[in-house]
Amino acid sequence: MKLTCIRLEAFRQFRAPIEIAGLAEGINLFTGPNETGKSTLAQAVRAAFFERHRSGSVEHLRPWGDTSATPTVELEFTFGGKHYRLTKAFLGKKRCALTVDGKPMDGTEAEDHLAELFGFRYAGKGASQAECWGIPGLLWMEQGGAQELTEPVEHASAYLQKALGKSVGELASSDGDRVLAEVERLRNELLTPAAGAPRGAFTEAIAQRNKLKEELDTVSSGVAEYRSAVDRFAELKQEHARDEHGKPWEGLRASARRAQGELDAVDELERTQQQENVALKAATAQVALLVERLSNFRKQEQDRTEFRGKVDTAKSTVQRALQEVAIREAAVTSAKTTLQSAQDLRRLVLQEAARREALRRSETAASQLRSLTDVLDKVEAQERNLATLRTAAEALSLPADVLNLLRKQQGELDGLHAKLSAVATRLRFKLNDGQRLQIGKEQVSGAGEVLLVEPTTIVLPGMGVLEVAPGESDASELSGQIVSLQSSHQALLQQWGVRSLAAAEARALEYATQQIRIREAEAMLTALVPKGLDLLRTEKANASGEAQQSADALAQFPPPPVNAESLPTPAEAENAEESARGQVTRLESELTSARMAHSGASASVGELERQLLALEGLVSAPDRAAAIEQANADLVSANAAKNVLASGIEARAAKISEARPEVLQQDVERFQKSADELSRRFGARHEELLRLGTDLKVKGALGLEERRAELERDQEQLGRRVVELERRSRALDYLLKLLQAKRAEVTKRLHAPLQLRMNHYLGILMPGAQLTLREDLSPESLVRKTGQGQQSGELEEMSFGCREQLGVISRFAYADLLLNAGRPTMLILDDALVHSDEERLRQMKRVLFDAATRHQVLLFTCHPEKWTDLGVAARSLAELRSTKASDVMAVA
Amino acid sequence: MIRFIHTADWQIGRQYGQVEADESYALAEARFSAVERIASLASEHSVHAVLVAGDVFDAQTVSDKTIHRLFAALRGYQGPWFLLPGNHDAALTESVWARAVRLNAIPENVQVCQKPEPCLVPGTQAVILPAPLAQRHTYNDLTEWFAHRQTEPGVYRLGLAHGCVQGILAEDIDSTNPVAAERAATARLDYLALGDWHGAKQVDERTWYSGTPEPDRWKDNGAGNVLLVELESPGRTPKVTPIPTAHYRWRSESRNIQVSSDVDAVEALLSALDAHDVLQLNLSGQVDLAGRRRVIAAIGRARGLARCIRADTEALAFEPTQEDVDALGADGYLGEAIANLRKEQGAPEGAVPREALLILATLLDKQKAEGAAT
Repeated sequence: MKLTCIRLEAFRQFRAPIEIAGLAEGINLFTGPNETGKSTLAQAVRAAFFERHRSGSVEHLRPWGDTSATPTVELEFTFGGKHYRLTKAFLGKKRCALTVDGKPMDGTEAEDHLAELFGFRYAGKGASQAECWGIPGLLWMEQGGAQELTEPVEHASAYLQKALGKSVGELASSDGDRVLAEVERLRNELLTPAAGAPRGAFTEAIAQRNKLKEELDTVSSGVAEYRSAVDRFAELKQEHARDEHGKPWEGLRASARRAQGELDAVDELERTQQQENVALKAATAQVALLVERLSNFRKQEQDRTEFRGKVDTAKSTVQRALQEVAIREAAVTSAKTTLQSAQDLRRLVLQEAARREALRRSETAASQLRSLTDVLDKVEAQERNLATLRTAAEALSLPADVLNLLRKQQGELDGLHAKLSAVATRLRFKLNDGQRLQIGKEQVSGAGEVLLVEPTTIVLPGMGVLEVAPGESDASELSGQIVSLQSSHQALLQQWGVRSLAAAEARALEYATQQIRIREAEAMLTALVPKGLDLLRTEKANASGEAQQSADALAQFPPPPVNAESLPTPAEAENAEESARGQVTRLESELTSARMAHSGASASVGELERQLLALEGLVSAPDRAAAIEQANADLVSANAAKNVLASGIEARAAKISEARPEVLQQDVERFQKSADELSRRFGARHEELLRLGTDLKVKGALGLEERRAELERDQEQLGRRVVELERRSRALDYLLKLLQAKRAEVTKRLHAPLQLRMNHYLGILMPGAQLTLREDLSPESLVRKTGQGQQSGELEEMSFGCREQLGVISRFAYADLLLNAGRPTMLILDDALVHSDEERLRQMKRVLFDAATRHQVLLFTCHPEKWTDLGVAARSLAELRSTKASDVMAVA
Repeated sequence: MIRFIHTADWQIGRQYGQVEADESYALAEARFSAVERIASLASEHSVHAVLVAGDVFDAQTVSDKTIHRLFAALRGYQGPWFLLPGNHDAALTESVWARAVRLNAIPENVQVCQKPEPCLVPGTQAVILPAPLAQRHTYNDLTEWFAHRQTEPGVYRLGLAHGCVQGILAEDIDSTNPVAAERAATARLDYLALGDWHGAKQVDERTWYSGTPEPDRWKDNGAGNVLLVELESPGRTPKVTPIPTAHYRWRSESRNIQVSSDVDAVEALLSALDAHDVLQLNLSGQVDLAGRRRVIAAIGRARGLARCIRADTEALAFEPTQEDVDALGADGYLGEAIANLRKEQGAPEGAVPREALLILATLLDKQKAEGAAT
């Protein structure tokens, strides 16, 4: 096809008529700045084809503000060797005229002929829309729309398929897509499109079947439960009847009672055993007691024998002690005799010494007196009174130390007497009236007490003599001391001319009284004769008294012994006496010991004899033999009783042990528990029976098995439906895939020529790259060879410039196919490829040039400088307009 | 001379999953109708008693309503009924019978033989020796006691049992509830009425299975009768007359289609059906488009005639001719698809392609019909 001339009048910007004639094959380049009418020109071509001449919706075609204009487009083109002239006037004077090689065609008929020829349709009403534009809509690219391919292809698809289909017609199916769509619809009713999972009625059937299965399971388990409950019921009923009849717990209770009876018997045995044990203990004790009693009897006899020996021994001991006492007594007697001699000698010596002293004093005094008498004869007279007094006083004179000595001696004597009295043997007596005794040398009668310090003979008149020897004491020594002290005392008394201490004391008192008189007389004499006369007199008196006194004293002495000159000294005599007394004392002490030994032995004999006597008494007691016999008899019977008890206990213990009371106790518990358990189970079973019976009645009325049968029926029916649906869905799925595969094969074959053309142009722009096509023939993705292999990209994801380039290329490819199919092809590029970089634009120009060798291309641009290398002259729209400006004005 | 009806295996409460939902209800109802017919027959033939040899109920726990309906169905015969518990309705401690008693549903003229004790048939010299099942299954021969039970001379001895006669039902050799094969002879029975086997079957001259009065499966074994038994005198051979009672004829037909006349035969078979037919039809072989159309149409028509049709055409291959393909307008890739499917349906895994082919053919046929209509 070749558009040769375009004329416009009253058409939008072109108020004035304008004619663009002499359009060439290949590229026609129109240039001009914005608002110069490039796009209006393209629009005019579209309007001429797409709008019905009678359309009321084309107000926009009028020049602005001119409401009465009749926008008119006139096109001339050649196609298939024929010349076409199309005149279209809108709105005002509506008209459509088409001449084909001079053959006129009018109105709608003309328009429909064009639509059929070019492959588009008219809008039902209103202005024509893109979806109606078909093939021209694809090939005639609007400003800024070259990159849009999907929609234009979609709108052109039917025409393309139809146009291209003819070339591969025998491969396509007339009803294929409808059948395919139906199969897909049917398939997708049952399966999800993507995953192929069941859906819709299929899912419902499955769900229903599953639900039924669940319900059936529930009911089935209910039936199973019911059945086992019935079995259980029957079993329980049987058991219940058996127990009700047999009452097995009663047998067990009887066993428990029997065991309890046995246990009670064992308890009784144990109680008896305890009592018998006590009795056995008592019997054992009694046996021990009797054995001891008999042993005592034997011991008494042994003791008697033993004591007899002891008494004999003790008696011989006494005998020996007695002999020793006798020896000792003899020694003491001898020693005492010696002592007596020594004492006598000493007394004699002392007496002689005292006589000699007295003699000396007498002689001295006499001498003194004679001298003094002479001196005093002269004063005596005057002092006779005093002298008398003094004489009297002198007679009473007793030195204080002498008195003290006397007192001391008397004290010691008293002490000794007291001691003697304490240690002496006391002999108390109480004689019958008229009876007398001689104790020692004393005759006594009635009652009294005698102290015995030494062996004393008691004469029992008409009966004999008792000799009492006082026991262990120092009475004898004390007595000796008393005698010794007595003699010293007596000598001193004699020396001082007093009989006793009392006399001495009296004399001392009297002397003191006399002294007081003397001092009164002396005081009187002193007062009369204050010089030494008194003294002298006193001396004479004293001497006279002395002389008298000493003469008296001397006179009291017996005459001196004949051997006076050979007498020992008083000290010697005293020593001898002391030695003799020591001897006596020692011997007496030994005697005392001997006596004590004797006395002890005697006492021992007494004690032993007394004990022996007691033993003899016991042993010879008249009932002793009987007692022993009794004890022996008792022992025999006690032992017998004990043995009986012991064997009884042993036998009983064996019995108890044999009876195993703990096991019996366990038996009792076991039997009782078993009976209780059986009884309890009987009760529980009865309860369960009642419960189960009621339960079964209730459950039986539910019609479970009937329900199950219904469910099984439904499940079977539904199962068949599911199988059917499954089979159908599988078949549909299978069919769909098969049909799709077949169709894809066809499509691929259909696409082959287009693919070839696409690759032809793409080879110029991007060597090695490939465009894959969608089923509707639109490009889908671009596959490019890179260093890493192939790289695939969706067309929509590409840059604007790239999409635009591919859009243009695709349209050239479609045009090539349409040309081959004998369809009119003419391409319009309105300001296209403005987003291409220089390199791409250069390649696109090569593409464009190549395409233009087969198709007419109208190229509008506001960038003429970019298109100077297309090898065609550019037409400036501005120039075209100015050329016709006057015409435009004239029309206006 | 005594006369009685021997029947068994009523299986009241049975449900039918093998047919469609609407059909199964009618089939279940038919079992009640069968009992009503038996009652009518009993009255009609003036029998002395009706002996039901077990499995009156299909299950123990049927609904109360079902129990009432069963006993209500007996009203047509006021003479004595002897019902024997079978394996499906065994006289367990708690059973459908116990419930029936509780529901007060059992009429006075109906005796349920729950114990193995002789029952006198009122007004006759006949004694029934029943062998009720007291468990679901037993391995003992419950008819054993028949032999030891003495009766007065001149009395008819009628055995009533439910189980498998040993040695004659090959497929049931190991089954439970055995009955000795020579029981009638050993127990000196005049007649032994058996149940459990759903077809009518004579075991020996005195021993019969009556079969179920209303068939319940596609097994042609003589089901659908009751037996009218007549005994001239004790010891004489009984006269046994089967009386059809089935409302529905359960039939299972298989046809192999190879040529057009085979389709004719199928059409004839289907067009001859009536409302008593419960048919299972298994088709195999192959049909072309025309044959297929005829078969489908015949089945569709027959559904209106018969009570129930269960048609299995899975084994019937669709082999469209080239003319068929052309007629279907299957050009282009559709034609290629049909060629593929035709080839594949013969393969071992051919079921899916066969079905797919049928779907495709049906679609094309429909489109063509629609195209023709417009």
